[in-house]
Amino acid sequence: MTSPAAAPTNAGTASAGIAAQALDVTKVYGTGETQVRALDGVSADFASGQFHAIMGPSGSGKSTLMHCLAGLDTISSGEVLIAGRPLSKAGDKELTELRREHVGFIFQQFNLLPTLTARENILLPLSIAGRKPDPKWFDAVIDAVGLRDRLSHRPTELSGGQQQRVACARALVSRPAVVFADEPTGNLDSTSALEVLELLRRTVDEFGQTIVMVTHDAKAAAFADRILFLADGRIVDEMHGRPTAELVLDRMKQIDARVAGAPIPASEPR
Amino acid sequence: MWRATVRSLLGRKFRLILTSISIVLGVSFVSGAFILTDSLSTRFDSLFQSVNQDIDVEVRGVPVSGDVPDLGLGDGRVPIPEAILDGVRKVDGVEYASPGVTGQAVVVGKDGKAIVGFGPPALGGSWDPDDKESPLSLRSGRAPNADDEVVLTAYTADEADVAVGDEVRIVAAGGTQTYEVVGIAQYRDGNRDSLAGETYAAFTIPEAQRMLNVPGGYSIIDVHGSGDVSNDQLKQRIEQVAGSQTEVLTNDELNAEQTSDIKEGLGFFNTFLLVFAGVALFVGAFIIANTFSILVAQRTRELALLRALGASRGQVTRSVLAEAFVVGLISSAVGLAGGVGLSYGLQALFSLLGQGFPDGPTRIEPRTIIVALIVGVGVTCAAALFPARKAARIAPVAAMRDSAIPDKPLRRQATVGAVLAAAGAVAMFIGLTGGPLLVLGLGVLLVFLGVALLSPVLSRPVVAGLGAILGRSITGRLGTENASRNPRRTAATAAALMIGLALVGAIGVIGASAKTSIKDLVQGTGADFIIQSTIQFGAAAGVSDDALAKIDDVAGIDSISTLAFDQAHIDGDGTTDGVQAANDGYVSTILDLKAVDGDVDRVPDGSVLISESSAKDRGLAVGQKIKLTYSTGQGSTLKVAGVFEDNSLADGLIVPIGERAKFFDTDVQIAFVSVSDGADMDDVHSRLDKALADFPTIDVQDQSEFTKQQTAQIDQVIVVFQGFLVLAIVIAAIGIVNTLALSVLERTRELGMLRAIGMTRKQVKRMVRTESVIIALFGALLGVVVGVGFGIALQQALSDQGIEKLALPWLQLIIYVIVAAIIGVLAAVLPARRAAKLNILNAIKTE
Ligand SMILES: Nc1ncnc2c1ncn2[C@@H]1O[C@H](COP(=O)(O)OP(=O)(O)O)[C@@H](O)[C@H]1O
Ligand SMILES: [Mg+2]
Repeated sequence: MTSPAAAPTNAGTASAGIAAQALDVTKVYGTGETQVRALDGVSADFASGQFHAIMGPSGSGKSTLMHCLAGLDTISSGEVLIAGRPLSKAGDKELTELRREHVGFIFQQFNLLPTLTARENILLPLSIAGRKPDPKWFDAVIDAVGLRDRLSHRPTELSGGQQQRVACARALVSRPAVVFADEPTGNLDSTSALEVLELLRRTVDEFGQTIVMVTHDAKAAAFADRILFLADGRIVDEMHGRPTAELVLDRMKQIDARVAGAPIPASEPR
Repeated sequence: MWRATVRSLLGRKFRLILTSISIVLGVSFVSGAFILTDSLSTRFDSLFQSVNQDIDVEVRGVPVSGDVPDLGLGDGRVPIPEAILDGVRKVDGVEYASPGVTGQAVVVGKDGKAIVGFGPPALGGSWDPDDKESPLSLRSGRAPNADDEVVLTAYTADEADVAVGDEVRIVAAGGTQTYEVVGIAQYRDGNRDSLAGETYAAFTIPEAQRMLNVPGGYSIIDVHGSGDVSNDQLKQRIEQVAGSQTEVLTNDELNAEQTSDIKEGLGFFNTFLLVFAGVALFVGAFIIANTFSILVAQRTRELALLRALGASRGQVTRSVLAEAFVVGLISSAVGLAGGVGLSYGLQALFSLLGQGFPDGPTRIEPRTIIVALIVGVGVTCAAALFPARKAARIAPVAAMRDSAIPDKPLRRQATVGAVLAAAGAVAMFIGLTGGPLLVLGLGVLLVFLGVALLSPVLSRPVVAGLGAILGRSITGRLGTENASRNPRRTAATAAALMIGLALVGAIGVIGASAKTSIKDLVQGTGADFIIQSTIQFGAAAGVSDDALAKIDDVAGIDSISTLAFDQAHIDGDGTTDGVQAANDGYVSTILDLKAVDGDVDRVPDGSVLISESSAKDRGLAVGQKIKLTYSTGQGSTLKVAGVFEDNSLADGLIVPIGERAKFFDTDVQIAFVSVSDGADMDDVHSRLDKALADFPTIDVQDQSEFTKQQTAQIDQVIVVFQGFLVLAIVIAAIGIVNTLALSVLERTRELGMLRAIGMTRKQVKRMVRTESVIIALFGALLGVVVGVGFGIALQQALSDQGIEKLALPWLQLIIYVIVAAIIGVLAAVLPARRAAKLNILNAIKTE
């Protein structure tokens, strides 16, 4: 099933640590007639310090996989590990703590609190945890997202791109083991989208941040070190070494054709 | 449009149920008040009908004078001479006629305490073995046939804890006497122990005449006709022989009179309940207005779409009002059922308090149903009117855009609020300075409305202040932010609590002021002991001359100041003035009058002291002679010896103590005792108690006991009001639940995000709780401020009626605020649980 793609560029980091891991994960929604296997035996390692993208057609299970990896959703079977900790048996309290300490989130809808300033929004995860920010790290994050002069603004006074960069800073500020981003550029114009993607790339390169990003945009995926392709809840392909958007698009088309073609041999020709 | 309305109703079940609770409660009180009073008055009607069924005509004496209030004790009327009984018996058409003697008689229990109910009277009467019309029959024992024998009704015997063969003491106009209980009586009608919680002792006729002070005559003659003539004809015939000093009533007239007394009492009770119903509905109106504006805001897109599809503004308004109409109708129906329940509940409560009502059917008059529906539907629709008009302002383009309805700026609303509050304050001032009570009520209403409209502007700084105290943690911080996000909604929610607490607070201020004033007054008298009867009205309400003589004999007593009351006409004019008969000790030591003119330190025989206001009203001056006519019709001509400044103890006439012989109540009403220097207070107290051992109704109290007793009465009144105002607070709590539920719903996505980035369920709950507590505290603080304002205004208005000193019940007010905070915590329980249980994924996905 794996394609003969190039080996990971920084193999050293990969062996140094796995930020998140899926082991034969299945996720079934509903029962009986209406049953949907959103994830069907997914196994994948997400190496630390790398930018991972998850691609696939709509309904292929991208978001489900991300939610399961992030401890937001329970899995039907298999196991998920974040920073070496298994999640399948964890209760709400442990999962909440795990998300607070080890996971960062970037949402498609930004999801900032309108009543708080940009600075307060960024510091929110630390405030919730009752922790003091490390001033050096906070400065580094602020500089990385380039919002120093906007810190006292409220979300309504910021553009979409700026809001998403605040959301990025919020995800980074607690130094999580892994940041999950679900279509982070889905609500942005192309210029803002580019800014956000470049920002994410920089955090991987400069801070060694691990990022798992769900996207259906080949251009976005092209910023990643490694791309997983999902179809019908299974990993059907993988690309490494920062391929160009065109190459990603080509691979997508191949997969689409395979998936679309797949049922035909299964049924009798008419 | 109708289908959209129904769909919208069904889609918002939970919120509408919460909202309708306030209407249900209000309507329950309205209908409960009517159902209870209707049921009771029909039951009393049929009770009196059956009690009086054998009496075709009754003869009784005319009132001693028009000024004597009929307290239902049977006294205050001229006795019927025995000769008239013979005359009546000879009238053609009279089958038999039985005489009766009635009056007040207080039975003393085995424990030595007089049986004093706070409502029903203590009655005495005669037991005539030949009386065929008597409503009473013997349950056990026999009729009294000696002067020291008595029959008690079963209820009375129970209360006194005595049985046939026991001794019992009875206090009446004729003094205190010990009797042997020879029989226990019950009412023929239903074998009742009592009619409505009254006590009744029946003596032989001569003993009744002596004890109840009806010398040589009767109080009533009950006549049973032979059936040949109508009661009216019989009445006419009897009037021929009954003389000018009697009144003759037919059975119908008798029933009507007895029930009208009861109905008057029930009418007060009805008004009392309706006032609380009004408070509940007024508070409820805020909740309804709030809910409907929330509903309209949530449905902006849907309503805009309707407009875009061609619905007119009127149709949009009507669709919202139709929703309110349905909610009001259903709530009223439920409230009506609640009213039936409430009427049973109140009856149970009263029988627990010892005020039993006759059993019988529960009556729901058509009037009750109509009023309940009109009130419930009317209040709901009126409250929904503003939100409905706002809905009509939604522009059709709002269907495409995510734009809220433009709110009128807060400042404009605040200006309107300030104007209303000011107008209300003026109306209150007019109402309190002698204007009609309705103007006062209207003023209170306007002030509430004004403050409610002003409060959104106030909410920002107050909420921020509260947040600074409560919200140091991130959850507190976020909760505070949420509370100030929608100042209008926060203010409307808090307004309900504000009204409840303002009313309780105002009553608290008045109560505390009254208590302090009484304390000061008692201290000001300088008396060591205060002696008075535990009975409020009637012959037993005084300190008899025998008792005074006993007090006088007690060693260690320096002086006794005595006082009796009556009413008097001056120089035969139509109005009456209060008159006190006082001895010099009372005038010089207790009253401590300030002279305007003449000598006011004593009141010598043949003289009268007069207050400045009375003197002014009548153009009287020192040296003038005036003729006083007391309520008995007797009077004296006295010379004005002095004019004094009105004070809370004296604002009419003061005459020499000897004048009380011409009063209706000839006994001294209250005696103040000063102890001689060096005497031991406790010793004197126990000597006084011992000296008065034969006067079970007379109580000796030192200053602190007296003050405690008086203030305890005030506390009781406060508790009753608080009890009823709990209703307003319950409605307010419902409003908070409603607002919080919405707040949680609106912020679903935020909550999802917060949970995703690591907020624990506990923290989520704490955040919702903070919001709730802040809203509650905001309402409570506003309420306390408004309530204290009302209280001060009332106290000022009542300062010349005994509430001279302003006192603020700080502890009580602080407790109210704490209670409000607890209400906030409780109101948050369900919404917080809901917020904490949100599915994170679904929450993040919501629009
Ligand atoms: N809560 C749910 N209940 C039932 N089915 C779901 C639910 N969430 C997702 N699915 C189904 O699981 C599959 C994968 O969904 P999702 O992970 O959202 O896909 P993607 O993000 O790739 O578009 C889809 O068929 C979707 O309909
Ligand atoms: Mg998706």
